[in-house]
Amino acid sequence: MAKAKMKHDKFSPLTVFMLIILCVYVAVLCFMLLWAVMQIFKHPLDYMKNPIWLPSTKNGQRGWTLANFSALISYSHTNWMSSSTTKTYAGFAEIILNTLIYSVGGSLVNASVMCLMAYLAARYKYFYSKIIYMIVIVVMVIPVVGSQASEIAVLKTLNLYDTRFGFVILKAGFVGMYFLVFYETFRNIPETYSEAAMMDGASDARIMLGIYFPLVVNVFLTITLITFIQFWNDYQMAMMYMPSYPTLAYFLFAVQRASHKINVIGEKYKIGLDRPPIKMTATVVLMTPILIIFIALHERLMGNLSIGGIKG
Amino acid sequence: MQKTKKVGLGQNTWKSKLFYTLLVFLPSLQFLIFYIIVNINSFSLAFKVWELDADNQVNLVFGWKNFAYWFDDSSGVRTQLIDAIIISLETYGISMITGLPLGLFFSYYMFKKMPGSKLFRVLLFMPSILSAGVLATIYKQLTEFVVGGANGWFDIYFWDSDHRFASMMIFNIFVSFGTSVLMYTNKMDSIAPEIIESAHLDGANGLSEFWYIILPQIFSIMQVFLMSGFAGIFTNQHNVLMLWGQYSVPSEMQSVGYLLWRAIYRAGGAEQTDKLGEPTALGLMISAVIIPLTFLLRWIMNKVGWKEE
Repeated sequence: MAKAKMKHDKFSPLTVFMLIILCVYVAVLCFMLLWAVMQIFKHPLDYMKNPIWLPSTKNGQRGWTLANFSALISYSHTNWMSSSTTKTYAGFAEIILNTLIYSVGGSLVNASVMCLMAYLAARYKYFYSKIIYMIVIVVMVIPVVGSQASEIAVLKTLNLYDTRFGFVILKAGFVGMYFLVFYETFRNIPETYSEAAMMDGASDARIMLGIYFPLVVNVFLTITLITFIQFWNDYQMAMMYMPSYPTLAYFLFAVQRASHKINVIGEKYKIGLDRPPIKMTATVVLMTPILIIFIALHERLMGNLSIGGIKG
Repeated sequence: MQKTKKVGLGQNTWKSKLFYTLLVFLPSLQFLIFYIIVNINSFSLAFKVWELDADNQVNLVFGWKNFAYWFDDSSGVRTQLIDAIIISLETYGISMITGLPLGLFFSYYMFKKMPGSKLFRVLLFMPSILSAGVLATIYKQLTEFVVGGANGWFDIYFWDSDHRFASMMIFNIFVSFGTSVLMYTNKMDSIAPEIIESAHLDGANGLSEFWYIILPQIFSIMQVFLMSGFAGIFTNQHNVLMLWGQYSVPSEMQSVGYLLWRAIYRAGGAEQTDKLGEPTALGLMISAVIIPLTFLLRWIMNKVGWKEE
């Protein structure tokens, strides 16, 4: 009887309707990603003959090729960057380096500063600790708009605009949702740990690095991973704050807009950058590392996320 | 009776105080410069105007010119701003009317552990971890050349003036479910099974269970999304940059967030610090409107919304 009731519950008109919509959603998403992947080894000139499927040699097509990658690398060595920057181009290797500095460096600095400040605010019962906590809450609640213009002006005054160092400093803030996650995590750790260590003569630094930080490693890794993904995908920060140090996401943005012709390996004539296989190759290059991380670590990313940010 | 000395971190030893001071110093300085000074500077920038005098000398004066710029229609800026406000409100309304209920129903489907729930949960989350630029590019290419267009499967031009707003909105809703569905399902999972069972015993069907039990329990999460969406009405760009590029966004797609971004990008990148006042003034005006409205919305939701009991 109970089972029959459950079955009835499972297949109400609402859930059947949802199932249909979800199936369509998944089919569209998978088709989009598969289609993009199927274009990357296709010759840009074969696209009109075969706009959907994998490369082929039928009907005079050129088959599998690395021409799209060659086009992207060639494009990275042309004057593709904004005329207002100090440089006119950045090669592909430099773009990758910038992306790693931006995403790995930025996420590590960001998570470390938040973790450190949350630890100090949660464990030291000073008046300033209360101020730190209050600052985070107030800044998060009040949505101030349009401060980027002023941020750029301040960065320029400090000679930090359009520098990698300036960007890292900009990301070294402690205000944000993840501060609260660290804060709650540290508060939930019993005080007896530090009391016992202090009786044994441990210094403040030793208690922090040897006792408390190892206990929040999991939370730290998850937050670093989430911010890494955000920074990896972010093209606007590089455009606005360090235009001379473009990242892969910014390069993809430039490729989407590019339409001029470029040299491609094995081709006598130049080929237009507006061909879909070239654009799709740029998107796949950008999304592949994130997809790999997501497939490997989606349990960590999704399982830990709750309204406070992450379940400690 | 002897008083026991409490042992704990920072119990007034000078070493602890020194340790604490050294560690909080740099992050506090960063906050002082990049939040306090930046926001004070925002105010000052908004009122700063560089004017040429009769001798062609640049003079710095203070006034309302940067604010007035957005209401001056001799160059069409006022009309552009009014249109952008309408577009921003329209897109928020459409997202709320379609995206919010769909997100809730998807979450309910997963909460009920229906067929394919785990897979759907992962795939719905995927767009939120991939770059919006990646998906926007694929979406635009597909709809422009494969699904629609001159040689496409259907005789529809997704990006002509009649269809582009709908095409943009479909994309924005398509990629919007990830985090919200995850949060809703996490919250739904925390509902005690006894509550659901007793509702079933009382004869509740799927819809009444959803309306009378699930929605009140997850209302606190809905509030967070409604509030953050509302606070972002005038900063959201709706992915127009990736869909059209920084300078080619059609006028009927330009939200306030895009206007603001473009003004900052032009002024910041072109070393025109004197031009930073205009976007800053717009930002201040938006803040002045949106901050009290956000608090008002929060108050209204607390008054009339469901109570989690």
